[in-house]
Amino acid sequence: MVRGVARHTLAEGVRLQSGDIIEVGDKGLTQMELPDGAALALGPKTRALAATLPRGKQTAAVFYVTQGELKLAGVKPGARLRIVTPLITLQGAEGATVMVLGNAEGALFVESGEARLAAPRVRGEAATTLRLKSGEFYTVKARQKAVLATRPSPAFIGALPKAFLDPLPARMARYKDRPVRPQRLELVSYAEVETWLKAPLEFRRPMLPRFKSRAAEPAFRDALVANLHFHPEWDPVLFPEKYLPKEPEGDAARDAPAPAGPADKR
Amino acid sequence: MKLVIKFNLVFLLIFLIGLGAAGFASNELLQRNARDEIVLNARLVMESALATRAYTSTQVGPLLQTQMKYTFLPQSVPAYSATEVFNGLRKAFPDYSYKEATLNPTNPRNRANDWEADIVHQFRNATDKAEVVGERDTPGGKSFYIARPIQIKQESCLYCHSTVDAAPKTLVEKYGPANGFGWKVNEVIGAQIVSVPTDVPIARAHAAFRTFMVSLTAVFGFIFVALNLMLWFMVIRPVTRLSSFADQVSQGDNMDAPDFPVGSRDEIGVLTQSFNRMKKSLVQAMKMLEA
Repeated sequence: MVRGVARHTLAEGVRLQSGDIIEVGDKGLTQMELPDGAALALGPKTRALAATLPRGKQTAAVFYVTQGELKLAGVKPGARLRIVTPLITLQGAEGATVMVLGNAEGALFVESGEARLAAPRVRGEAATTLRLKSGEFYTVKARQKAVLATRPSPAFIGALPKAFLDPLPARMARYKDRPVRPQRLELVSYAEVETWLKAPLEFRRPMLPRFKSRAAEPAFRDALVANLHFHPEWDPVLFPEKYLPKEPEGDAARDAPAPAGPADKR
Repeated sequence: MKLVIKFNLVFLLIFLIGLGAAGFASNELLQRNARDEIVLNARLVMESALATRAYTSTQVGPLLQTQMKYTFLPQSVPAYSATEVFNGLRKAFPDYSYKEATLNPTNPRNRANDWEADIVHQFRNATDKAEVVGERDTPGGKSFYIARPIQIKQESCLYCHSTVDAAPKTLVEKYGPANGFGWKVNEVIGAQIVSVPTDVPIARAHAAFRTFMVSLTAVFGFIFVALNLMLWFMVIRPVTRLSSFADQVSQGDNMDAPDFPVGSRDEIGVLTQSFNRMKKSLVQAMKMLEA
């Protein structure tokens, strides 16, 4: 887990904070539980950013997931929750929904309840919002039209962790009065947070103040400079001199030393 | 006819009557026990299948409900689990069989064959019939069977078996839309049939009967020999000697000889003593007559 600018060991019972980045190992499984009873499980090799965690009923939970498998379960009607991925944006859901995210394709299955999602905009077409019912299966590939089916494909089912095929067990009550503190490790390198620094603007914008201090490290700064076109908002941080206020033309002429003229020759 | 012949004829008669009566009674008992064992085995298998069905229905099925949304798991079906458990049992008892024979099954392996379909139709024609038992010849020998009807008693059963559209998609995906639909509440759709071999218990009963009869004959033979020896040594031989001695005395021989030895205190001994007293009286009477 990346919290702040450092890596941390993630253990069961750790209370997440907005901005925490969770990366699941090759054989790991992580489950996040929200106060309203909803749970988000992440399969092996899944990378997720808890962009916003709910504080009261007004704040929606927002996650940005770049790859892997995830299962959202126990979502009550009216719950405010949004999961954004490179190809699929889940704007709301009830019941249980499962997603598998590949490099250039994504699939979503509504295990129960319903899911409301914004499909990626295909060139020349307006953005669409889909309301999927229980049992429906949605797949989308980059730059292709999404496909809706009545049954999940065997490949999709085969890709799911076994634990996703069962209800997610609630574990939060065990740690209600026993907070677990994550152990802080080393500072993150650019490569470790590169995905998040190159995320859509909504999610990478908060990265600027967060990792601003890391820009002082030469290697981190060099990487930022090399990838600046992915995150141009870093330009003022990296090259502040370009953004110094410019002096007016008239003032400059007045402050400049006077050229030698006839008066001097007097 | 000699005493020993009379004795042995009576003994043999009693032996034959006893052997016949004991053989008949024991054979009946062993055969009845074998039948009871067959029926008990069949009922045990039937109850075991019912218990497996109940366990699957109440405990396994609910746990698999979520997984069933992804893939149909036959392990959640009571009929499947009962059959699978029994298939495990058949590894040790290959002649036993259990089948949920169904006229229109979802799983093709449950389709009733000819004789099973006849049983199912018996239940369909007489819905109050709770059980059918019988015996049939199989390639492996005679087989005893118990059958009970499978009747749709709960609406929940129709969740999977009413229409293709209403059935879980995963079920249709696995078994297709052709079979296992159109069932109705209270309809007898099949029969649970347990078959157990009768040859083994019957053969065991026969073997036990043979062993019993041979043992009984051997015991009778031993008793026959022992009684004959006892009769010879305890009765026939002393009586024969006493008789021979009496013959000699009656002919006037051995009048001065000592008394016939009394070998025992039983009736033969008493007879010998009586004879010796009679001989003494006879000798004295003879002496008185000669005087």
